[in-house]
Amino acid sequence: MIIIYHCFGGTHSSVMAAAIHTGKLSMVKRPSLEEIIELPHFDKVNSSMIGTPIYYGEDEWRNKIYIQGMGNASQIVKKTLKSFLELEGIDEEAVYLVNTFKYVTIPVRIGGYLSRQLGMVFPGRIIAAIGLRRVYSNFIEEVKKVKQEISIASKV
Amino acid sequence: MRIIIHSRKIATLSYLAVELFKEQIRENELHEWLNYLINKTDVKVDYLSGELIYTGKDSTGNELFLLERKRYKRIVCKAITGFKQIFHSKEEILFFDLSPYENNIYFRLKRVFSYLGLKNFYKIVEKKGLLLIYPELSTNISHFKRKINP
Repeated sequence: MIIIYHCFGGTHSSVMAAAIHTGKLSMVKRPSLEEIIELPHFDKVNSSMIGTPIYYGEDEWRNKIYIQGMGNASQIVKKTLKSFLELEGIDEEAVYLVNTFKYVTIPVRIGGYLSRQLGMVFPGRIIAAIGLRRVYSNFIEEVKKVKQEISIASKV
Repeated sequence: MRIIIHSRKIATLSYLAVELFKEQIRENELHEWLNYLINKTDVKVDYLSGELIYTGKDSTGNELFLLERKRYKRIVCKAITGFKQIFHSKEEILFFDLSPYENNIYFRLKRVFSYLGLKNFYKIVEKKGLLLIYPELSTNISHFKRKINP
């Protein structure tokens, strides 16, 4: 199965969720700011990459995890994906899309804007990491839900 | 090979591009073709943005698709290219962008008349717009086809 965590830019909340899913971040303990900042692709994907799915790793069931920024076009991109799967004759359930944009809080938006739009990596990256760290429990819950659903789906 | 003809909105212009890819239009029958296409696409269809709409094959056997992608050209094209890589699709995908033609003043006027419900006016201006862009669109599609099938 392919799991795509998507958000606006594909560089903050989706990276965080994908890192938890692939075991790069703990499912129990809240990570330090350094751990978040050092994550692959964290606050490093620039706006020209929005739209491109980026491979992030594999989980314990060898599902492939991707991150993707969809900008404001998430509805269109989802329909395109559905259409593409039909065209290729691939079962729609082979892909699991998870929207992580709902966990983007105001500090993350501000930090992301400073870093990615204005090029102010410092302090933007730190503000975004602080914002995400504060809502870390939400990401854990989301990833747990996803893992539960895919394990049920794989049993069926 | 798959050719995706993408535009902000699917309209008569999109179908004209399809017919040009299929090489079904003869210069001396251009007016009849345009009238036919305008009347054919007059029935308002709400296309689901993002859907790949299959429209048949061109003269060299490439599959043609229409795609309405609103103003998210870059994001949607990158996403399709990415999905192709993820699923190891063997079919090559090429994009043909109609946005340079969509900005034609007649098409803008058409949209205004369309919103106002002035059906006869918008059909006239749409035809004028299509006639105006036809030579350039036709040449560009021929170049595009020659590039992919030298």
